[in-house]
Amino acid sequence: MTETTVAEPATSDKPIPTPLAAHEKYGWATPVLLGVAVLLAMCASLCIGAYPMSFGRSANILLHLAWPFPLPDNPPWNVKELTVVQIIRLPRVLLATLAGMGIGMSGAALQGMMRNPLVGPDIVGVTSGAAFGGVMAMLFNLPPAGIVSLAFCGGMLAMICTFNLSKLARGNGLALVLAGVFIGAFFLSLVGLVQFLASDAQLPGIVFWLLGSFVGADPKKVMMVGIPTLCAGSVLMLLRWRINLLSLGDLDAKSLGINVGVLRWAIIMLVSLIVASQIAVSSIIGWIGLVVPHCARMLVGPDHRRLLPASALLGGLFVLGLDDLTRSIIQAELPTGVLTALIGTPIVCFLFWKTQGKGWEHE
Amino acid sequence: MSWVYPQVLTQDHFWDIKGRLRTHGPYGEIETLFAFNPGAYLGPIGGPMPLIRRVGLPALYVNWKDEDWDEQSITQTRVMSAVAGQSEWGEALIARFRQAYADLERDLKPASITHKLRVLGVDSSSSNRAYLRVGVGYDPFKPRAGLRDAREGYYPLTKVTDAERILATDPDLIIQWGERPQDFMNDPRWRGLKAVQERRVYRPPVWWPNPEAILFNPLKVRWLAEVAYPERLKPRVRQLFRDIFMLDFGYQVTDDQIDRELRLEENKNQPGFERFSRDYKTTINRRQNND
Repeated sequence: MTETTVAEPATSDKPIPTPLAAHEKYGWATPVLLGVAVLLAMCASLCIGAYPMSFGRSANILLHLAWPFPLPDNPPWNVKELTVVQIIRLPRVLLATLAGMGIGMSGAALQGMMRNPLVGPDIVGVTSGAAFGGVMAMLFNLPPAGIVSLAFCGGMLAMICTFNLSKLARGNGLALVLAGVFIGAFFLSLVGLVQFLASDAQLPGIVFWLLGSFVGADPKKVMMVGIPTLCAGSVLMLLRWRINLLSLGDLDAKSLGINVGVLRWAIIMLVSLIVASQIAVSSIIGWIGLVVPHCARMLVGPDHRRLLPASALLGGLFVLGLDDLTRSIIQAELPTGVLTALIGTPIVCFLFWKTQGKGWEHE
Repeated sequence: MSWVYPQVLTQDHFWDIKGRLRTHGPYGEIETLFAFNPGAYLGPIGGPMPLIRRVGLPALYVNWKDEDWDEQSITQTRVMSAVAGQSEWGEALIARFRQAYADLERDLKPASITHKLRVLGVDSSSSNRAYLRVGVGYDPFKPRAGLRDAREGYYPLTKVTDAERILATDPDLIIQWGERPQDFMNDPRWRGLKAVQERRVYRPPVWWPNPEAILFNPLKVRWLAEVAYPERLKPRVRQLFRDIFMLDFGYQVTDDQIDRELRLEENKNQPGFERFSRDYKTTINRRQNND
């Protein structure tokens, strides 16, 4: 953002600059620091978990894995310890980070595109739609690619329904949120119908999947999330200038040469792809897409050039931290989706209280 | 086991009451229950029995919350045989049930086993499934089979868990409920497990989830004990299985059917499983003659 100035007093020769907000002063440093924090958190996450192994031993294995030479012939660790770090924790850490990054960035893009800080993938129904696609795929025992495809179709369908329904209501911010609630409820009821129709053998898997978890992470799942998230995320990053213009309002954006309709649909498709891929492997990890962009906005301000990467990194950090908690604080495996809802809801309530009376224009 | 009475039991839609009712909750589709209009309702605690009683219909409980599986089987048999007017037949089944356990205890002598093997039941671990389940379905049988629960010391290890926790338990023996032992052992996540390194991963017989507990529970325990301690027990599972069908159903089970029920093909490479094959005695005799 450019430096702001107050109106020039008539008696003074020089303008008096106002103090810069912290995010304006250090805005570009924040994403870099967040990136470093994510890398450190990933390394730390590889060293903690349910398996009884010292932090030092895990770090030792990690160093050897990162070292570009073959593993030693007589390593100080055993096969189980190597398996835990290399085959179990590494995919899980990557998966949680990528999923968090995708949801964080999707939330920021949606909020910018719809000019509404109360919007997130959960709110506009895309999460419920993708969940419906996912459970349909599980009902018909489709392979992982089928789950992603149907989740994507479900997410897209929900998003289109929400968007068009809000347009019918002349498209103000509240109408969009309400349309999202209606469409989300509709798709959730379809999820309930699929659960009812599922066989006894399928039902436990569907129910646990819906709780949201990174249990069972493997390289395939990392690819399933990683490829769509990195590809669609890169395109979103390329569109960050245009999202800035879109957040000014349709009229202003059009007057600045933006094809609003095409851009909006492009963002919807990209966000749906990211959210669908995340939901296909770990189901609903709620509230991240709503909470994280708010927190990122506090750090870097509303400029999407910084907000998108900051939301992605903060999302990755947030989900990774929560997943670390679920797999280490108690002996049982608590679904990550449950924990994000337990932690995310109070944060959303707090943000709602703090921002009451403020609209998008006041950001 | 629809091959026992194919003319009747293959009509699943007729026998599968659970599928027809689809009861979700204690009073789910109570009208359907009434529509069956049987002479008496038999059901578990927690079902719609209190309501059925309240409207004046005969409803009998067949289990109590505090009982273990075996005691529940005995109770169910007593209630059902009394309702059918065949109490003596029910008592005979119960006596055979107890005798089967007594025979196993005499042969196995579980109290004398100094190093009890640690066993873990694991559900499918394939990546298409969103979860792993442990310890499902056979917990009460472990002491009778001379086994220990591999989850001891790792409680609360809930039904749903992750791979890291399974590696931490490191069981001596794994019962694989959801996939072929070979597929489980080929998964690189499990390569460090002691049970995988010693190839002691087994798929339980097809009859395992069979509801006729009074007939099959002792046989399940026998199978577990023979898999865990083959050196202590003579192979009797095939014969006992055959006896049950002859005595209780008047049906002569073929060797092929027993092979399928025991999942011989899936388990054939697992150590000690050759004892369940039909020509085991011949093989042993041949080996002894060669020696």
